[in-house]
Amino acid sequence: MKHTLITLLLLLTASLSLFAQSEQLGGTAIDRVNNKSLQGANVQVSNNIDRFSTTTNEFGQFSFSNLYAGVWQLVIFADGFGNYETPITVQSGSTLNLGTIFMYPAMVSNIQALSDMSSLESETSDYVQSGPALLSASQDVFTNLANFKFSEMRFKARGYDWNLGKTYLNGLLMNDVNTGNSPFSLWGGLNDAMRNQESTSGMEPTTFAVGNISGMTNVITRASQIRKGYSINYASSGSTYAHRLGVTWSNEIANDWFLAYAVSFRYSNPDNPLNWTTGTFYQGVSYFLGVEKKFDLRQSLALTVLGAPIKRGVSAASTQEVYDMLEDPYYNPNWGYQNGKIRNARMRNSHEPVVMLDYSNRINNRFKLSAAASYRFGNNGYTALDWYDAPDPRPDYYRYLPSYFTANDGKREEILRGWMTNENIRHINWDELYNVNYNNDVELNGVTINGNKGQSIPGLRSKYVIENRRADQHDINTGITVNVLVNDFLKVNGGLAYRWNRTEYFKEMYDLMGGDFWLDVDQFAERDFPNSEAIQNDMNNPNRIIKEGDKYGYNYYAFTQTEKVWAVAHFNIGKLDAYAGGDIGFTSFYRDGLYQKGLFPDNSYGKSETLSFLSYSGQLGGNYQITGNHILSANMNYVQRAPYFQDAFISPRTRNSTVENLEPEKIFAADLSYSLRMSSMKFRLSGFFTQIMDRSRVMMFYDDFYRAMSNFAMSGIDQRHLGVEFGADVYVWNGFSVKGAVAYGDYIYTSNPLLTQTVDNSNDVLSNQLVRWDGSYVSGTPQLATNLGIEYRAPSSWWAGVDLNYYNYTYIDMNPLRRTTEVRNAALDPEQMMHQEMFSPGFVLNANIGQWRTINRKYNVGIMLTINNILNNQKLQSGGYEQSRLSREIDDDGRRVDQYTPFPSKYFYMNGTSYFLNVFLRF
Amino acid sequence: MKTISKLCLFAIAMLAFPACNDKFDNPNRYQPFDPTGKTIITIADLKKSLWTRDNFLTNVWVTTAIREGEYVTAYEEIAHASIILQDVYIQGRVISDDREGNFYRSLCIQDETTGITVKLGRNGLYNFYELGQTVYVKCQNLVLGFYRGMYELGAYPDEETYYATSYIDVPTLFSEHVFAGDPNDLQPIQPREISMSQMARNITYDIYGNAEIHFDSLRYDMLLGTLVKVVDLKHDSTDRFLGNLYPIYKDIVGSRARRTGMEIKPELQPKDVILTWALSAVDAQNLGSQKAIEADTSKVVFLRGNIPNQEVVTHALDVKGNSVLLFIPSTMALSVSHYYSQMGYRTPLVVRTSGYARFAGQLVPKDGNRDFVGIIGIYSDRRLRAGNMVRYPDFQLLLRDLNDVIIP
Repeated sequence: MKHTLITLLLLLTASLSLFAQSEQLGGTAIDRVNNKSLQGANVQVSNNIDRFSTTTNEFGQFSFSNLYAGVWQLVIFADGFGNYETPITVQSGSTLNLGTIFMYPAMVSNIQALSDMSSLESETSDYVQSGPALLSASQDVFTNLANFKFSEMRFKARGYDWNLGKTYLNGLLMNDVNTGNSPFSLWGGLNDAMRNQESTSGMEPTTFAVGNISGMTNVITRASQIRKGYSINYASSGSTYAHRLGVTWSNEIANDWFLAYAVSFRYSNPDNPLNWTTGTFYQGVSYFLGVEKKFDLRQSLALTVLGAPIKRGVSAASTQEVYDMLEDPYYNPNWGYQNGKIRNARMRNSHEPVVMLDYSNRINNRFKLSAAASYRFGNNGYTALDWYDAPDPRPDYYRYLPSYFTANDGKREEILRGWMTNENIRHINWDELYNVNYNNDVELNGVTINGNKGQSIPGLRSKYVIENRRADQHDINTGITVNVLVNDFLKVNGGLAYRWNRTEYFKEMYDLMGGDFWLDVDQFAERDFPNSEAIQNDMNNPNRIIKEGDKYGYNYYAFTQTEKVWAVAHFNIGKLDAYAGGDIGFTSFYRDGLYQKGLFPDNSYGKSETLSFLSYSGQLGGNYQITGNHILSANMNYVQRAPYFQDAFISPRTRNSTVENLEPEKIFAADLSYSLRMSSMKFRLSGFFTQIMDRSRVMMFYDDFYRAMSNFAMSGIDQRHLGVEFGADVYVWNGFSVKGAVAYGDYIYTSNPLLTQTVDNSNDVLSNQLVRWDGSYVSGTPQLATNLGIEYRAPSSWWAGVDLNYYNYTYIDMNPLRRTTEVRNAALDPEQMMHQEMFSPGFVLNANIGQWRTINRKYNVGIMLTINNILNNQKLQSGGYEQSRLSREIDDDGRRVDQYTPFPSKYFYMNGTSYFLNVFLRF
Repeated sequence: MKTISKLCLFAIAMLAFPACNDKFDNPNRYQPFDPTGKTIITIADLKKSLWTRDNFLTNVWVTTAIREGEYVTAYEEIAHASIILQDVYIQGRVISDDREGNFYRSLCIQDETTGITVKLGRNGLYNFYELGQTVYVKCQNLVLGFYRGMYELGAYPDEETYYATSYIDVPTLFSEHVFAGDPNDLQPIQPREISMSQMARNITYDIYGNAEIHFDSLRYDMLLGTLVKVVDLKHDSTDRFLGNLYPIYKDIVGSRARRTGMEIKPELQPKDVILTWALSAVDAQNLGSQKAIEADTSKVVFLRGNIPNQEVVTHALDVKGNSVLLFIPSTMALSVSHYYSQMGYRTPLVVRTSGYARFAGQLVPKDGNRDFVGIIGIYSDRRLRAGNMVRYPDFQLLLRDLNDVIIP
């Protein structure tokens, strides 16, 4: 009795005291399931200029007292609950009490943690794609579900390549300047330090940039904005790394001085039995340090230092024949046993720290200025086996497979037996490769080395080595952003950006594998032009002796500069919120060769021509609030972007030649959406249309038709993406919610690009042909992805959910050579040659369970376990590509004739049943 | 205070990790093969065993497919094969060298009796078996073949082929059949000097109609496959050489013309021919780049790159007047035969070089006498019947590298 009375009095006093100050805004958050007050929820109000945040107290109450008159956006979010958002208008002198706000349960989407899980890199065609660009905890009901649920199939929203998404750090665009790839690997593992993000998955502009076709994220790493206290996180995954442990801490350490740091360890053993793909591993430690000083109430200067050194072993796709033979769709040809240990020949290793200084000044209530400068440096490498005049060491080389021995049953049986019983046939035979090096003690005699004639080099000349292909960057990035609140109806954001980048590309000798040296000559030139200067990789240093750590093979700089100016105006007129904006800028780049290549003595050393491109965009859009909860939005965007360095040079490793008539890429995109946002129900339905024009691509591979190592430049690639997106999250009854998402699109090529083929060792143009693939499908993502799930939230803060995904219309990555007239006419079966394979559709069943609680009002603890692919569906291809080689038919006399069939394609399969465990502790 | 200690912890953690570098130990060297306890027979005995029916070889087996044309109609007349079932070994020192590319995918070994080719079917054999190194071959389940006069050891023939054996190109078979001896014990075999006059005498025929030549007291087929030296040879630069290259040229240019609609000018009349040992893939593909294709032809050039002041035409005009690269697709490297003869003797020696040889593009010295060292072989493309000798078989010499060409 006494107890209750005191509590009541306290409550009353507390609520009274809160209203005693001159505050403008207050409210109470209630957990709808338990009908209890929700403590520890984050509440944020922001306009274009300012952002204030607080947390709810034990009664679920929050208040703000330093707001000024104007229109603000209020968001309440808490782990385990769906966000509550509303625009509010604050008037000076009066108080706005929002009253009781019900919060409904939603799944804990630990997106950041899952971004690491799904960023397992794997080789695709000749280039590696890194993980999805946009993996922030989005507030959009479709994106939230799609990013979380569909990443298992490497889903790409609207079919866009991952390099169409943009990632910013404190307002600076961090996408790789040479490839456009997302920079997430720069801070992998630092999830809690990078949690403060402003993002959009759609085309709308933000306070930090013009709208981007494929959405964007700005990660803010100011120490003062990182969650105060300790965040400790442990994760364990059955597919990529076995363990991740991270600690993040932040606080105000002195008057207006803020400090934050984070350390994270990621480790996975290649022998880990939980790993679906043997030979893949992960070793990394990431670090973060942030220091911020606030001056008066308006200015702040923050320094951020972060890095994520990592070494990871990757997997590669193989053919269906190999998977069927071994009954293992996760076979990885990149590794073998060396002295009983698993050794992977292909490892990515990088350490690219970023140092950033950013300054912001809220000059007054209407004007904010921010400026930032960053420097990214370090090294980035990718190892591979290299060999000189020796048998191919790859275990799944086509001549080591049963399918090669079509004319000989006995030999086919023999090699099949070898694959099933002999690990040196099934995997890389490291012992043999080393022994070949041990055998090679033939002295090089009478050679001119390092300028001296008639030299003899004793020692073992390595035939097999591990090379490390490096791309080391110095990237200086600067930008200024201005946010202006002109009046209640108009906001203007704009800025300037300048970026300078020098990337050094070279090969480094990583491991001589038991030998003493490697001789730096071009073995393919040696075969075609023996005993001539053409074999030299660097005519200024002929016949160089290479030891571990030395550069060899190729060495050049790519210099890039971009300048840009952008501005967006936002209009707010009653129920309509509209924007118009654009940007304009220049991109220029050139190559600077450091080696004089013997095959191209006049065109390899020194600077190439400088290529410059104008880039610009214009956009228009807005949303209309039919009622407070029903919103209609539309966006339109036209972009012209400069090509990337990697697509502008025919063969940058050997020469300065640029692709002829290189066009900038143009994109037109439009979408229309209808969304409903109520506390208990959210959904969004969108339709979109995008036309991409004049994409270019450069590839290099051996052409079996012309019998020459060739460079291919494709230009005039057009694509059309059309589709619908639907996402819904509905609270049904008594703790149960139903969620679902559908992404259904039709992404096709709408032109027949031009393919120019040049010989790699002479630059002679072999052919100019059209690639007939108008109407073929864009690859790399399922064009239909659907999800339906049920989640239950129990009164005692635990939840469980189950959901079912269905995927279909995933197409293979095509080899353009198979669609040229010449090859089609020479094909044994032209239809088979030109056919684009579609992967099998399939279902995936996932479940999750978790709990979080607050202990002693201070410790937040949570645990989440996800079981993926409960049905163990191992037949779903998540990706794949056509090989570039063609095979010549053999006639009845055993002679090869001019009729071709394609080599079998290579596939990646989605992992079978695996788990993901995440445990966090915050205090 | 607290902050500083935290920072220290953080710094330590940072420093500790990158040093985690897993080094792999170098694997052990393979041990040389130890022949104790193994039954080793001479290569001569192995060769002889193909023809006798009452010895340890069983299952005489013939290839089946038939081919029409100017060649013999029954394969069994030019190819024989027999699978070896006994667990016997042969051993010999390596006399071929595929480093220079002329012995693509084959290994020739020679013991005190004779030599034989082992069709190993692997690139870069010199990486595993060096010149002069002893090699042991486990013959059980390999096929001993006889093809156009030469013996070979290989794998079971493909279905429907006219070759006696196929290459032993299954990776499991390498380590099960061919074993390297001590790599430090390299003793190159000394070549035996022979003369062409002796090559032509005393041809007799065995019961199968195969030609046998007795040379001193050594059966002819015991000479084939061994390392020999022939001296005082002169290049035969008559049309017989050009006859070998010229049809190739017509073939290639013709096929190119068909593809591109190019007009072919009247036939080439080469006056000034530069000879190379063989045609590498690049040179064969550029064979079309000859001024012969244009209106006036005076020079035929087979080589590009190395020789200064050579005009090499790389483009021509097709029927539409478009400039077309004279690049012949689907052309592989071509083997070329050069004819040499010793003074006064009819029987020529053919020095045949594969287009895959690194020295293929090197110039052939035309004038003067040469000595050659190489592996002697024979190529019978006609069935030689008793009493109805159509022509002599070609004796072929395969060079290992240009050190085998001795200019006295």
